[in-house]
Amino acid sequence: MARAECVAMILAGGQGSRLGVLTDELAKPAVPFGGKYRIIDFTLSNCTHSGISTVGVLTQYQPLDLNTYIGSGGPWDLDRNIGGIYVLPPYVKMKAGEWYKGTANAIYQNIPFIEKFDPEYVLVLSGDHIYKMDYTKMIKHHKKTGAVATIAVMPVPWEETSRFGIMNTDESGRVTEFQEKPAEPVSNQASMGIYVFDWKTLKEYLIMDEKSLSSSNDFGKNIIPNMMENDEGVYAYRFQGYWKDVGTIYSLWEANMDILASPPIFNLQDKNWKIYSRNPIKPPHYVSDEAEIMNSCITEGCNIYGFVENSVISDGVTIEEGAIITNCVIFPNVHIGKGTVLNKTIVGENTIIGKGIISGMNSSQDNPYADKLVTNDMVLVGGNLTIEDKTEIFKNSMVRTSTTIGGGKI
Amino acid sequence: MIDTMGIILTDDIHINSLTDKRSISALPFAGRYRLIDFVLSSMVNAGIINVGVILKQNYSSLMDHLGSGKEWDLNRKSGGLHILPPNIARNIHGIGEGSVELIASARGYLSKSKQKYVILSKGNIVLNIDFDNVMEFHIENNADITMVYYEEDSYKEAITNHTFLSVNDDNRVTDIEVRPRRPKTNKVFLNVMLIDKGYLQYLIDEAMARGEQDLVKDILMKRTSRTNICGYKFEGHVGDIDSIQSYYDNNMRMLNANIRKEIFNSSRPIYTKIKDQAPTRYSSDASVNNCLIADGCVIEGQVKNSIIFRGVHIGKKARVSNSIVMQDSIIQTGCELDYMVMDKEVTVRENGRLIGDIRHPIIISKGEIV
Repeated sequence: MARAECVAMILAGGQGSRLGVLTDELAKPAVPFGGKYRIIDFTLSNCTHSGISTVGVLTQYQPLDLNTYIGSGGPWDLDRNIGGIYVLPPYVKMKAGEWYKGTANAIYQNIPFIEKFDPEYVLVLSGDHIYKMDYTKMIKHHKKTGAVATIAVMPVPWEETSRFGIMNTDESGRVTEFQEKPAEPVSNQASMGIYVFDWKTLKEYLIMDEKSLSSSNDFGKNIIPNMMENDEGVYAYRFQGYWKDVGTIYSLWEANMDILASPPIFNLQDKNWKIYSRNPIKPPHYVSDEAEIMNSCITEGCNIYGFVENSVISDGVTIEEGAIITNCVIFPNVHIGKGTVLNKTIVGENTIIGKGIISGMNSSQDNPYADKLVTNDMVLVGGNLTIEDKTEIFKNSMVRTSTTIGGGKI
Repeated sequence: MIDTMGIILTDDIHINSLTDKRSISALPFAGRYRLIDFVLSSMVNAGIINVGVILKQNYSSLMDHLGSGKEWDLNRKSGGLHILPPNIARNIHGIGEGSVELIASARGYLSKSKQKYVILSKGNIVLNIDFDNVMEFHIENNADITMVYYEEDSYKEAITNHTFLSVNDDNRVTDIEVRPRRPKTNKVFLNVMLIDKGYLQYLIDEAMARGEQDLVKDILMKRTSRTNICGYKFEGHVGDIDSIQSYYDNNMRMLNANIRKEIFNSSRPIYTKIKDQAPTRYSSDASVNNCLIADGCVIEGQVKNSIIFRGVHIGKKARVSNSIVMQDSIIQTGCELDYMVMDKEVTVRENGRLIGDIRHPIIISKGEIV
């Protein structure tokens, strides 16, 4: 097989359990985002724009939708004669066969795949981040410093450092200290979960790590600390720009809101860095005479007859007359009935929301749908549900099943 | 309909500057489509996997649009999309005048194709037709040729370029009139027909030998008595576009929810070239009423009764009504447009005022800065 200088491996097997009902039947990278995208589109488009055309996608949890979405990779120009995109689930081997035990183990199990392309470098990426990044700059930095491993970092607010892997570097950018989710951080430079490795060295470390029974086979917890212990050149690459790990329901909502501000905090309309996706085959959206739309994003196949403000509306959504949608993220093919009021609500795909429903407006001590995953007065309604007319859904609810819900009929 | 192939003849009608540099089949329509998308998608949705597009002139825009045929699932190992550039230059309308020579020039492609039937169509009609029904009709009536028509209830005397059919109770076409001053019937030929491929080749060879030019006048018209030519009535929405007025009116018809539902039927979708545009962004000052708006736009002003194509920017305090604004045009702050057709990549500078009339929409040519 023809040689590739750099192979990208995208970790897309995580469950994303903090996204609640959204990831019950869907891998997190396949969750809709920004009106017409799936989360993984950002990483895939970054690969395409960075000229990386050999990409492995490591899937494990609920891979069906993700696999069909990726298909042959055509939408991202990754259907190539040489290289292209490969979905790599765990598989049964001669003697054993096992699930991916950790991020490093997922790469370890695919050593034969990477070896086929005989690469100089391997780029390890996450399939669940929202950002635009030119990986060629990072690889260039990796070559310049002569590093064995380069980790992309960015500054995070000091109070959030305990959620991240924190790097301390010397003047040359070499990592001198690495703390995984520290209580007392030494810096606010956080790892973005994006790594460039020299393949030969990484392979040795992966094989070594696999032999250690106590290891959790994780890049952050094991591989990077082991490399640093052996005094290998581990360098940080400072990234500037928008980056968001949409791990929680609130952060998913926040990231969607970031595309709305004017000018947007995160610009999707950048002609030089288009985000590719599997486009819906639908006509332009229709806005009726009665409709009012302010500070929102609307895409193909929508029919808007109601009031929409500060919201992201995905393809094929109908919002009927008199409905008031504020601060919401509506996933594809949702139908919202007349006179329904939704605030700070995320609605999953294909759900039918009846008439006269109130969601995310009021609080209740006695909320049967309260869920600790839903915070900041938000509401999450799952996909493929039918919500009956005139029901009320209180703040901080997660609705997993159809029927009459909340405090009952209004 | 794996045993049927499609041939699309791209017309050569002129609509002012809109067709200066593009074939009418490549005319942008309804926010994100080109006219050819409708008949091409109908063919694909009927399971046709071999389509030839016979080009006439000014075809670079059409070729760019169709590309490898990927968006229509026509990049195939067997069959697929075949672009057939012309080797003559003559004016043709519909599948009539000059069509014999054009089809003859695709003789090689026709004989190489394995299909038994051909659907022959022009490329500038807005419709979503189920060709399976046409085929069923063709076989049921044991027809040699099936001509598809629609009924125009209130046609004006001055309809140009239309061909009218007389059809009897047995669905048999008994008479054909091309551009009559007082048509005998209200049955307008859609310029879509179904025919056995071998028979089409035979007819074309015969006509070529006699120096005949026109498929409708020289071949079909003369054969109504001895050949079983049948008329299939298409009852769906038809947008026949051959003038600036019909172009404008048919675009505006897409604001009607029922017509939109029929044309963009989700079980028979209309495919088009994908541009990977982000969703359209509305600012807090936007005000939009009764509009069709494609992706990739930024709307900061007021838009009413209009069709806005992909990547258009409507600036603050701008007022756009009753207009068609094509791809990547920029309408700057404070502009006012009424009854305008803005071709692609037009810029209207700050506070510009352009007013047309409902019976006379004004066209601004591609790339102009006003």
